Amino acid sequence: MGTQIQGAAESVAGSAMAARTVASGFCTALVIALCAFALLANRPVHAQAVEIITSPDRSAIQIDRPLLLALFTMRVRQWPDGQPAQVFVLPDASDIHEKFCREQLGTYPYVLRGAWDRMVYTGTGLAPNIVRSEEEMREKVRSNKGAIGYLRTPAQPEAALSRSIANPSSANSP
Amino acid sequence: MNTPAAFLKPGSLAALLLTAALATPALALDYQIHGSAAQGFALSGGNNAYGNSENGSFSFYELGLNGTVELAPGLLASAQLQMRDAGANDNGALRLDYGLLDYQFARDSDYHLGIRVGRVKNPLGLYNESRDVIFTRPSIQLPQSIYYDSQGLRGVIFASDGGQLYGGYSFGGHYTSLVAGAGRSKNLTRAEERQLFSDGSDFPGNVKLSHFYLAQLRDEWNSGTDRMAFSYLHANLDLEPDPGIPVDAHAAFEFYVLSYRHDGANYSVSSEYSITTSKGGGSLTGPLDSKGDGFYIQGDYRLHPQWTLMARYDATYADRNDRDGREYAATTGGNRHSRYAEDFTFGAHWLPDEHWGVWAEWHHINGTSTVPKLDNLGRQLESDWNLFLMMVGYRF
Repeated sequence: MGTQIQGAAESVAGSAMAARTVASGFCTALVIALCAFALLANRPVHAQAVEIITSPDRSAIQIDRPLLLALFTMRVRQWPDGQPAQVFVLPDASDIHEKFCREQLGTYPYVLRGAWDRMVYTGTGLAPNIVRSEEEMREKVRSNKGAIGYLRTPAQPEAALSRSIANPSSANSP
Repeated sequence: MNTPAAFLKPGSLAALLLTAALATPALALDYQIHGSAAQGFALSGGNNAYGNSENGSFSFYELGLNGTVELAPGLLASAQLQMRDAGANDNGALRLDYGLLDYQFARDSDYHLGIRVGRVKNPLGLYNESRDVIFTRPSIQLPQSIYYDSQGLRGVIFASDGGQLYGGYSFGGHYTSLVAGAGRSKNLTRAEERQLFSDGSDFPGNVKLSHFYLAQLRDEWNSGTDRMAFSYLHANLDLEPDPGIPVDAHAAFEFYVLSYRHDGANYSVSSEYSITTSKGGGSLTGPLDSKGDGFYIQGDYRLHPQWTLMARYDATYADRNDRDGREYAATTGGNRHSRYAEDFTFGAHWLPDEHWGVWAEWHHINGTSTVPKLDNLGRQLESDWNLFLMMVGYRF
């Protein structure tokens, strides 16, 4: 929220010169500022350190918190349309994994590990695939159908938006 | 036999591609192999546990190897082989811990439904299903108020041959799930009988387990960092003596467990309460109508992602209307302390990496109802005693 307000404020400040030139310029600036605000509000993921990525075939799917939890706790093994899910995570001790657990799932690495262990040692589920680096995460999620994982949010927001990072075909679309 | 060059003729290439395409799903079968191994050590004063622990016992280990394969979308096959030694209460024999098919036949973003058949692990309380893997339980010795190790029903409770239906539903920040199962009737093994009678004698005949049903309703919120569960189990035990042996007995057991656990960034709190009722009778026992209960509360503090300290108070009572055993002593002349156990536990564990773990804990126990009888045959039980346990484990 802080980022959104700051972003909107900057947009307003940036448009101050235009507003001095003509009266209608103020209205234009306001519209731009509101658009900028709306744009930021639609992408709250940029306020976070970690973002969800999916394979190209999953880029159109809306992922809410319950689905994210169902997939990453491994209690559901398929996407809602039946496509088998391939879940990729970094090791428990990774900082990025810890941030992912807290920000995106609202839990902690040891709690998630407990949920996986319970399934692995009762034969009722599979553990997620562990990757050793962000590079490997990017590659595995890009190249496996039905894949989901996460990456550190890039420093420059325009470099890649949201989870389409793993989908080269839609990386340039707004 | 075709040479590689012969394969590259136009017709052969198509055949090769077709073969590859058909073979791909088989090759892409998702499977996993996991295992764990742990060696324990027990040292005690007053009574024995996990073998002859008054002199230090290494008769305490657990080995498990499991495999899971996804045969088709939503369909899993899995099995685990296990060997466990725990003094006189387990013998290190190789056993099939579970072997099952799990089919998740319906799902959407907010619910799923499935069925399991085969030898399935029974959800009871927070930890019963995976109780023999040190990495998945909250201490070396589970709280005995809920997870009996030596009162004879351990083997009966932890897995059964049968089926389970399960389902889960997410709504408003909660995830609620239900597992309901039934196990087929079976005769207890000799080892299970010895534990049940706790004096080490073999019963001349069979002890039959039947009418085995269980259900667990669970609710998780705050992304699973808060969990509550209610578990129920019913089983009948009947003595079927050999011809000419003039005894009979039957009992129906009901087991209820209420569980709660909260996980924070640096600490966890967990607590469970159980009530066990037994009703029945027979020439061996006379009329049987008892209601025992127990509870524990445990706190864990994570000093560091690798280091955790724990403290627990665990209390078990054979008769909830006679918790201090006075009435029992007055009517039977038995020991008061055989009717309860209050266990103060302090422990620590260290997980240096994703494979290794080291645990240590000290129990101060008042009362003997949870003392493993088979490790103390012919001995006078001490009502105040101490137990130190250590375990080193590896998993992959």
